Amino acid sequence: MDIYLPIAEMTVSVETIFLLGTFVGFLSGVFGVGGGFLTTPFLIFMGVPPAIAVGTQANQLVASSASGFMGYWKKGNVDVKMAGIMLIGSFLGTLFGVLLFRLLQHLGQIDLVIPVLYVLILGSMGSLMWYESLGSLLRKKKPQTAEKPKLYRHPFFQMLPYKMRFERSRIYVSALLPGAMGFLGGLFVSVLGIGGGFLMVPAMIYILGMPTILVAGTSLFQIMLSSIFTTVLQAVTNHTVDMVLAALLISGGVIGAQFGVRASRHIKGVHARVILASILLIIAFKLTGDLLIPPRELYTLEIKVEGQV
Amino acid sequence: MVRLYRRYKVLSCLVFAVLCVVTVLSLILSRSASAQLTAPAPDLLTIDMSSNQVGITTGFSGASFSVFGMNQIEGDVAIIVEGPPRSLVVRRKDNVAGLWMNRQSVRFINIPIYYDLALSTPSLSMAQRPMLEKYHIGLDVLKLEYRGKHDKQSINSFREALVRNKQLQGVFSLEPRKIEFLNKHFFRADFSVPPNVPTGNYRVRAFLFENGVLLDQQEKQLKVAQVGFSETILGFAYNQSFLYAISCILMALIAGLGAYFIMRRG
Repeated sequence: MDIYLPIAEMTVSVETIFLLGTFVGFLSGVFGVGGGFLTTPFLIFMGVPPAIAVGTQANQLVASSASGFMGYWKKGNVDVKMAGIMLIGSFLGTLFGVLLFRLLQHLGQIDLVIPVLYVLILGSMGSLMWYESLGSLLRKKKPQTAEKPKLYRHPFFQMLPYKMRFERSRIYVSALLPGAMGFLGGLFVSVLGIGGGFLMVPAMIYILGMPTILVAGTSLFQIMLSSIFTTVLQAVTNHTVDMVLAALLISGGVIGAQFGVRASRHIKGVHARVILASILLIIAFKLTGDLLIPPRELYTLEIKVEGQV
Repeated sequence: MVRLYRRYKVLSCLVFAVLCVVTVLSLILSRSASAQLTAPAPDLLTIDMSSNQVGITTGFSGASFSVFGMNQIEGDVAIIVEGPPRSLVVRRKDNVAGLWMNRQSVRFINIPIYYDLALSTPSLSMAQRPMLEKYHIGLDVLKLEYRGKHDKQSINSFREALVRNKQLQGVFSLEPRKIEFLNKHFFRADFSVPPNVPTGNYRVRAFLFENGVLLDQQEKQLKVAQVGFSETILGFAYNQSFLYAISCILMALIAGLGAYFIMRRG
């Protein structure tokens, strides 16, 4: 069955979008990731304009982060003050990201920048996870927690001004650090259509020194709020949020997540990480290929909207 | 004196008579001339369409419409379906340090977002090129104007790329459609638009040629627009964008929280 997307102004197959949503929902159920890294490139590949793919993906992230966040909120594992500080940064990051996106589009380089950033981020995260999980699989040992680098003890991070006390996390750090992370998170959502949880979580553990139990909930809270902000900003300034597309992705996601959570009970943590790392690497590999292999059609068209420079 | 006066009288009469004749003649002539100009247009060509609107609904998967016409005089007919003009940028990828990225670009202006045509002859032999150019008859004669300075060779490849890509998208015709004559004076042409047809006010123009001379032309409007649910969403997104954003977010929050509660129960 085909459905017309009123904002993207194109017809897509309902089944394809729904299955994509289900698959991404499944992944988020198993691994606790948002799955934007999968949805955004796939939508662009289907011919959805990049701006609409990213804008709509922000809307979808609201749903997936909200259901994850609720779980941690009920258990009280969210540092609201930390998320609040991150949020200020993420507002600025989103504003900057939306402008950056427009600039790159004007320069005609958005279809270079998005895949290159994806390759860098997914490739490095995938290899790291692969390396770590494979090591622990081979050694059949739990990775030694004592080896964790304590970057937050580094003099540079101790020196930064505007120190704040975060009672819930029991840490005393410069507000600039969570602010900067929020900024980066806002950039991720608004330029790449990904929540960036897989980067934020290690950063919060190693750089802020937050207790591991609070990290996931706090990061999800931050992702939820910054994707809400991105959705408003994209819908109001650029009109790049397609409600019909978002509804399809979200309903697929809700169903997929149910299966994912059930499946996760039968998958070992290490195995799950190997699978996720492989998925990340496959996407990175595919995108690298697209950048390196001579394209069949060298020329692309972009219709200018009236009034746009 | 008297003689002179008489002569003058005759002369003046003559002059008057000549003037009268000239006036009458010129009146007659001018009337017949204007009659020729505004002749109650003999309507050599009349067209109409099966529908003057292409409504894009939620389940839209392309549409078709027919153009019917009468021609009083036998001749060659061409029908053009043309979308509103837009400017567009064509970019060319080049290899930079192993990466394929956009380098050169050309900005074209007044490019119809959609172009299709139907002919009664197998090829564009109905008129001379200047005539075809004037009325946009045929993809080859579209002007494809651009801005900025570019050398001729690269412009040509950019123009070719523009047409090729538009054809791939299905918004420029690959080859002319056929106009079928039901008898010598009554014809029809069937058009179809793809699912990705751009929205806007289209012009449908028909031309009647005889031995390369344009005898008559007629123009109709075709509105391509979203209707029903799609139109509601589009209007909502543009006219009340903040409320639209809030409802998108509410939809996502309800779905997300709903998923959480279902999961918890399971």
